[in-house]
Amino acid sequence: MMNKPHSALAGRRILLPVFILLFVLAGVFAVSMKFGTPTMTMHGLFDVLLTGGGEELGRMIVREIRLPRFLLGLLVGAMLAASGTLMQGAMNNRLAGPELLGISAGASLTMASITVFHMPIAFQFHPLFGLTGGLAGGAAVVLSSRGSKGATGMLLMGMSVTAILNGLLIVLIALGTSNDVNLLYTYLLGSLANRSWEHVDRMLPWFLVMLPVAMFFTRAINLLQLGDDTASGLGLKVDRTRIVILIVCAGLVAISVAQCGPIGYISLLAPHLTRLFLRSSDARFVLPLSALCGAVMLTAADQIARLLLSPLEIPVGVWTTLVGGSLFLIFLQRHRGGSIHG
Amino acid sequence: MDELPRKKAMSIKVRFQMTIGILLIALAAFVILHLAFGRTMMSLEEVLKAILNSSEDRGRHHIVWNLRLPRVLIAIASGLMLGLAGAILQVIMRNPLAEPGLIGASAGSVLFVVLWMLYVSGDMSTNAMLPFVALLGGVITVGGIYFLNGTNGNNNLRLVLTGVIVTSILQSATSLLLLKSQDGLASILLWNFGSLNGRVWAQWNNVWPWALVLFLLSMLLARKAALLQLGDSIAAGLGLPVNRTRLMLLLIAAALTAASVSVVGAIGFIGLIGPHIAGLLIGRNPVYLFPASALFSAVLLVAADWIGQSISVNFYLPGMEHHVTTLPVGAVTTLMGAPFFIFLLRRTLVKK
Repeated sequence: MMNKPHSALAGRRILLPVFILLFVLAGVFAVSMKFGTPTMTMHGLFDVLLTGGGEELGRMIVREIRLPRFLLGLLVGAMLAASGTLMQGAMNNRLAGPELLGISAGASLTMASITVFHMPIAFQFHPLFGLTGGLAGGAAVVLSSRGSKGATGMLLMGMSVTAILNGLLIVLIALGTSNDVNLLYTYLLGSLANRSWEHVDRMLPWFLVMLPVAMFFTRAINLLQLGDDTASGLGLKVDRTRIVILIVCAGLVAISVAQCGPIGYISLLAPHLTRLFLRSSDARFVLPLSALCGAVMLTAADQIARLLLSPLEIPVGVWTTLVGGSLFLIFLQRHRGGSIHG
Repeated sequence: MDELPRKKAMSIKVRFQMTIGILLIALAAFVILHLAFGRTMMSLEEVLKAILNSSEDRGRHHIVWNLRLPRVLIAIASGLMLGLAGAILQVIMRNPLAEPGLIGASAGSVLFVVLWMLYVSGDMSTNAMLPFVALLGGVITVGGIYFLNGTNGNNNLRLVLTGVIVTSILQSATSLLLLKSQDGLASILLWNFGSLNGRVWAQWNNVWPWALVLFLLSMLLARKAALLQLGDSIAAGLGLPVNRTRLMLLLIAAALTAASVSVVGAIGFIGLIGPHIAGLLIGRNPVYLFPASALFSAVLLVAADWIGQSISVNFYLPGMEHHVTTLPVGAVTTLMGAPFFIFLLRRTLVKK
């Protein structure tokens, strides 16, 4: 596949962004391990991470609290970004994202009801329920915006469905818990606080399965980006592929929401930034790179959430919405026409 | 209202009078329900006695007079204001989807109010400055959204989309401030979703002059708004200073939103439903539409608050039997209003 000059070009172009992102990621990693309460010395940190020595307290904090949190942010960010890439490709709509199309809110509502009602469901099965909720939310949006042209209508539909689901969520939390702000914010905005190795363990198998599955669909997405007519002319079963891709998307999102709540705008922005970097929308390159980009964005945002107002911690979803929403407005300004094509 | 229609076809005026009559009856019914039912059930007689201060039971007098009555009155006032604001916005923007909460006005007002309360003066109930602060925030936000929308301002969907995204950004900023000051769940729900819990007379005193003055002002401008509906060039041809009128109406709508937000937070979707159903009943002439949609929204808000109260009093989730739960009214109005918005949206989309 590398004999096409265009692909080769994009293939070479991918190296520089990958290096930059890895470099930034290493920086974020260092910050996330070093700072906080207590702040580690560089020397102590090396001891703890590499040799397993160091003070008891420091070893405990770095290995049991900071490391799993960082890894979880990495996995969630990558999965969210991958799902955003898939969705934008499948819908052929650069403004699509799971949180704008009701998937995150649906998954979040089911997760919140499991928590609030204390349903006797094993942790391993939580993502499956989240997936069901996410699919229901997404299906509601897709069905109710059927027959409308252009991206804006579908986005507004998604936002109203999200508003309904969030309304139910607030009812649930206002009635079901006494004054639990944390729960509200975990399921309304998303947070990475208080996560342990358990969460990483639950997340990892999904990550290892779903990302290759997502990569498998990049060819189909490349075709879909050419428009429905061209894609079906090239032998792609358009509707069926689209539905399968959306289900994969929902799977990626559901597990993230089940562990961390609906963290907004990562899935929307990572693919955009990646396409800007690469100056190409070839999904075979955009998908892995945007997964990396999403991982960097989320872990970096989590450091802000953790450290900026320390010792107070603001849920990371607040920050991603603040920054991501503003960037999204800029992208919206660029796409002035009603409908957006690849 | 009971006079017979003189003409064969029921004229708009008669329909208007009937609608207002029915709405007033409905409002009275919901007010009575709201005053009588709650954690303490009362008979109508007891309520009346408590209001007239002839009840021997001081506890009941306190419940009705100090807790329920101001809450109901504030609900009526903010419903009126939001409905009126929605009607004005829909008329002057010629956009069926316009609503104070959807074009960012509420969220902007909320952010400014929260900022003011955190950094200048914290007491909400006695602070008469709050509506002005809220107005500033609302005007800046709406202006910003108009600017973002640029010259392409008559694209209805895009305006709402920008508004919704700006709202979510501003809500995050508000959450950030509230979390930073470590406020409880109640205050976060209040400011981002709207709540009538714990409103007292002091807040009513802050809000009713705004409601009264702005209602009269908008009625004075209603005829001009009717001309605006015909289109800018016709209105200008009929001698109307188009831009000035529109700006004044927009300011009135922003002030209505701001005054209600400064007391009850950002209650969503109320300003959307009222004007639409009122428009279906009596047509879209602002002279009738403004008061009817204001009244309709007031009925809706009182009803929504009563529903929310009844749910939180009578309905327990497992494990919560002994907790005091309070459902924010904004959640109820969202659940009522968002499906309605989807319906309107579908109509707009399919028409295109």
